[in-house]
Formats: sequence, structure tokens, C-alpha cells
Amino acid sequence: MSDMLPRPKPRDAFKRSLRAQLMAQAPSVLAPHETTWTRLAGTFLRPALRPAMVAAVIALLIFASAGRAAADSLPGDAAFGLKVAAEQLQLSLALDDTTRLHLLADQADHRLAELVTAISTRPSAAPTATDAYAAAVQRFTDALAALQGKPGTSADKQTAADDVVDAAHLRHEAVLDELEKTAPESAQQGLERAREEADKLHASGRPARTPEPNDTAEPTHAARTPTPTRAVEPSRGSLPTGTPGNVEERSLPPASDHH
Amino acid sequence: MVGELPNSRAEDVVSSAEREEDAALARRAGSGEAGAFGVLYDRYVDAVYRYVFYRVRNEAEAEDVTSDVFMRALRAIPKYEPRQAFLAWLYRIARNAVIDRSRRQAARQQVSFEDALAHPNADQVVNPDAGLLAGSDASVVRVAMQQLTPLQQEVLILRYVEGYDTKTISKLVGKRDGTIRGIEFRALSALRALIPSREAL
Repeated sequence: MSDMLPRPKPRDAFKRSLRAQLMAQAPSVLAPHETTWTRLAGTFLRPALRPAMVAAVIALLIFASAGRAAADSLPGDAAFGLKVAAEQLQLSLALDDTTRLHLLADQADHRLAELVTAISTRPSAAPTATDAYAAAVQRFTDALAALQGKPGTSADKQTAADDVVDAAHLRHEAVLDELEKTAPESAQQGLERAREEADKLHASGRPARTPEPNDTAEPTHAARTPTPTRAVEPSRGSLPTGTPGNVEERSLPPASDHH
Repeated sequence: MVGELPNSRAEDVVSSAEREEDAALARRAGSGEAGAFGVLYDRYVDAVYRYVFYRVRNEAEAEDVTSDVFMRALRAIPKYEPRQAFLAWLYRIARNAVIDRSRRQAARQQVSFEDALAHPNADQVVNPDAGLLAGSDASVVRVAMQQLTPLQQEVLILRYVEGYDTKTISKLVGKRDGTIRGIEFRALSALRALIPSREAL
């Protein structure tokens, strides 16, 4: 046996074929998608709803100062309850299960951002922040399980829901990886616990969804035509802005777009 | 045990010029320019394929998963954030694609150096440092590899197939350099224990 390790190369025909498929699908895949926020904006900016919208904006302005204090709060702070209440209000106004799942993804992002802030600047708040993060992850995965167990949920919707959680898993993993590099040794234990919670977002750590017809057997290699399903979105950026309870914590990727 | 590899490409994924070029291409692709994604595909398809090949073993599966990786990347590229090297981002997607696939398989197939050695297109080789596989029966090595953790396999592949140094691998997998050295050490130690006939390991 050789003591050399080979560097296998893909077949040229495979590379050409895959490239052609990617180029064929790119225009539709890369086309701008409508997001939940644009959809919501479209809904609330209808002429009939404008007076209500104006009233809502005024109310928001009145509570802006209190909201800012809440936005900067960490789990365990007195003002944190206001932030959670705002998030609950958002959830109760969710138009459908998918929007709800996206909101829960945002909330999990916020809890992680708070955890990062706590570990970095206020270690005494880290255990409570970790608890809050764990609870947010639990609500998120529960919502996924509920959506996927709901009779009549289409395979596309299930896949889209999986994508949201997959994307969140990648974002959280990336944030924790970054934090691990800079966090003090004293924070490593809390960080490990946070990582365990984040791992629950991975497919292997959450309930299996209702099998699709195609899941019952792996397609043969010859018959396999790659489809852009279950995309993962390891995006990074800043927290979504303009949402109740938004926090300007350390940079954290946004939840995936709402399709 | 750890030394310079013949095809060491430590700066490949971290050189700022290449990284900036990748970032620009990714931005253009994310804005809808399919051709830019095509350039990135051409640049990295071989690397992704090699990585996947060693994690799933056979050529057909490697092609299947490689397809999946690039389809996922195409969907996700509008949200790619250049803070992370593009190849590292692709490896992350590949890692999850491999995990998802193994979860769905009834009989999991694993890395096989024996199959890799028999690969019809294997035209380049690297020296796995202190003759990691020298003198060992390929089937023994295969069994041993199957018992390593996914992360250990990943580190060995990036180190001994791709030829990256531990500093680069640390950036690719998002762990500290020292952690990578530890993982590599434990992986090699595990192989040593799992291949009793290898006195030189």
C-alpha cells in the first residue's frame, strides 16, 4: 500500500453538467424574493389601513424611550420583560405558521446576541442569558415540530421550515465559533452550554420531519438531478432593525428571508 | 509527526487579494449575476469534491453531495458575508450536507483511503507526513478511519489531502489553532491505537 494520499478529481463530464444546471437555475434562484417584511409593508400600507398605521406609529413613538431601555436590556434586567412582551405581541400578530417560525428565529438570534453581550461585557448575566437562549431555541424547534406535524402541511412548506432552522443553526454556529476565539477562559463553560443548545438546531438534534416521498429512498446516482432544496444560508450581518425588541448588540446574522 | 507537506497551501484561503476577489464575485453573484457564481464554482468545485469524497467514500455519492453543496451555496449566496473566507463558507455548507446525508442513510458509508487510492482520476498525491499509511493494509486503515469522529476526519482530510497547515485549518473549521493541533494529534493517536501493526506511527 502506498503511503501517499491521492487528491481525487471530479469527472469533467460531472463538472460540466453541474455547472450547466447551476447556470440554468441561477436566474430564478438569485432573483430577489419577497420577504415577510416587504409583504407586511405591502399589507399595512394599503389605503384602508393607513389611519391605523399612523396611530400605531404615534403609539410607537410614545413608547420609544421605554422601548430603547428595553432594547438594551439583558435577560434578568427589569426592562427585559418589556422586550419579551413586545416579542410576544409580534408573535401573536403573526399571519401564519411560517411567519411565526421566522419571528422565533429572530428571537433566538436576539437571545444569542444578548448572550454574546453578557459573556463579553457582563459575565454575571451570562447564566441567565444562556437560560433565555435555551428557552428561545426550544420555542423555535417546538414551532418547527408543530408546523411539520400539522396535517396538510405541504412538503415545500416543511422544506422551507427546515431551511429556516438550518440557516439559524449555521448562523449561531458561526457566532459561537467567533466568540470562542475571544471569550475568556472563565466563559468557556457557558459557551459550551450555549453550543449544546445551538446544536439542537441542527437536523440531527431535532425531530425528524414527516418524510417526503423522495426521502424514502435515496435517488440513484444516475437519476439524481440536484434541486435547490433545503438551502442553508450561513449569512452574517447585523440584527434586523426596526423591530420591537431589537437590540444593538454585537453583530449577529439576520434570520433568513421569509419566502 | 507534523511537518511541512509537499503541497502545503497555507495562504490559499486567507490571502487577502484572493479573498477580496472572492468577496467581489460573491457580491455580484448575490446580486443576480450568474456568471460570477460560475467563476466561484470553477474555482472551488475540485476542492469541495475532494473534501466530500473523503467523507462519503464513493464517487457517485461524492458527486451527489457536491451537487447539493453548490445548489445550497447558490441559494444562500445573497446572504454570504465576506467576513468568512468563501472556501471556508463552502466547507461549512459541505460539512452540513455530509451530515445531513449520513443521517438519512440506513447504512452509512465512510471514508476509504483504499477507494481513494483506486480513484481513476487521482493524479496528485501528498505525503501524509510520517508515512501515516505506509505499511498498513488499506482495509485496516479504512476501518480505523471509520472510527474517528467527523471532526477528526475533517482535520485529517484538510491536512493530508488539501495540505493546509493547522493555522489555515483553524480558520476553515472555526476552531483555535491549538484545538486543531489537538484534534490532529488525537486523530493520529487514535489511528495508531487502531492500527496495531503500525509501529512507526
